[in-house]
Amino acid sequence: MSEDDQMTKQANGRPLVLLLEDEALIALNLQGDLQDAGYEVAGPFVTCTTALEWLGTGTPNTAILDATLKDGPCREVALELSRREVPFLIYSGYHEDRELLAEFHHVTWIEKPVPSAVLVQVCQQLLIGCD
Amino acid sequence: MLNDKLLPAWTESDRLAALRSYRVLDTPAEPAFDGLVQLAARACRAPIALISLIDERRQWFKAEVGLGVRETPLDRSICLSAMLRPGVTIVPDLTQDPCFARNPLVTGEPYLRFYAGAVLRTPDGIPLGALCVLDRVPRDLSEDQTFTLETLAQQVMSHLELRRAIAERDEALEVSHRIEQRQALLVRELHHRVKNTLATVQALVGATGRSTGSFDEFYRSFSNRITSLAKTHNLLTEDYWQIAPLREIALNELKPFAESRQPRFILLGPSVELAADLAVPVGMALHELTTNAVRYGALSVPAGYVEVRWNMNDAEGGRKLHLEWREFGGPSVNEPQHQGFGSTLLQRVLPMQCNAEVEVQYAREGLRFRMDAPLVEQRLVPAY
Repeated sequence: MSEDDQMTKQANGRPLVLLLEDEALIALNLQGDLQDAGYEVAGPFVTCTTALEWLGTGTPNTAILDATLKDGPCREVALELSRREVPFLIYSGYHEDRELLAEFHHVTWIEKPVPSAVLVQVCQQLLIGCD
Repeated sequence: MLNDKLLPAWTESDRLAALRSYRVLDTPAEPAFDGLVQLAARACRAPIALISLIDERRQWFKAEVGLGVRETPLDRSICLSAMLRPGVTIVPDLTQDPCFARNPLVTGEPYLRFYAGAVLRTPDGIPLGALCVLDRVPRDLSEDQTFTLETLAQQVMSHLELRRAIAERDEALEVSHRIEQRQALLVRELHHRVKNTLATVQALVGATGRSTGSFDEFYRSFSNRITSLAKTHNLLTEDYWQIAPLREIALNELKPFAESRQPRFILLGPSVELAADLAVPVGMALHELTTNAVRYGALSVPAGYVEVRWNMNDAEGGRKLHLEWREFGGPSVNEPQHQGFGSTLLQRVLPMQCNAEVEVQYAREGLRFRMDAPLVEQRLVPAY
């Protein structure tokens, strides 16, 4: 991790969550709830491509990934986050997604629909876990 | 009475249809049929035996011994005549029979002299051809041999029946397999859609909660949004292709104003059907626009009206839907003080969800909304 990334993380002291979700309504609502809970949000991104582009400029403290996006499963983003040792959770409405992303079995999976409060809480736990 | 018996109960097209139904023409040799002609040749002590099927312009042999060809033109067919007679036809010397004396297979190679054929008849009594034995010398058939030939002809028919039953069963299985596949696709899609809808409803609770001041207001807005969502889903589910006509989506919202004496809305656009990915957000957008128009805009006063226009444009990478909402005759419009759910939906959800370009103009004479979104052309279910 570069010095610059460290800077991004610490900006204004609020933890930074990357949000990857292609259902706009859900994404915007979750963004609002995360902001209310004191998080800074990177995104929401509706495609893996745009999320990966952003990852070229910064590193979040944690991430919420929808399993399947408009441009396919979130594999590349999840791999990049794993490489940088960023804890993240995957949430999905489809059982098939688990088989599709079998290599991420050890990651926290949450099934849709889920109250935003639960996602916020899990993010908090992920952040504590990595301290 | 006698004449009635001579007249066949079938036409040539019936006969050809029956023959086709066995799906046997031009199929490879099969041991079961080969065995039957070998048995016929041996039992009748004849060098040649054939299972001959009379097609439109040829006789085709499902099995043969001693002739070395799989088909001949119909003008050389002796079975064609034999098939039209009842039982077993025996011609001891073909050169002596005026019907066959000039047949090229009699006058030239292989110089056929003797013919005996048993009709291959369907259970409905339609003749398909004959099981026949042939010899190069004039001769006759014993009673036992005649009986054997007739019995073997019945065996040929039994095998043909069995083949047909199997072919029909395979086709039925294929059809039911395709139906099953479509059903599985639909169940999966429905499962996705239910989960998605629940997640959307959950987001709607949050978004409505953020933008309403009282519980009553929350309850009213929220219920109306759910009702609108349900109507769009109705349109999608009713359709075989799981798509919804844009006109119907708009009517779901504006129909209450159709009863008025003065026209309160105009829908102008070609017939266009939207897949769920576009139908649901567009339906929600039209709901928010209508609700806003009823509360503050053109539909809040008797003289106001709404014009909804749309068309399709061919753009790079596919077709695009252009949709415009314009209000006329309402109270003068001011830019809203804070961003409510309606404007979030129009200005943020549509661009994110549908890749749409949108523009909202709070023009003094009436609200204007415009969107351009790429059409989702992918078909969810296969045709069958």
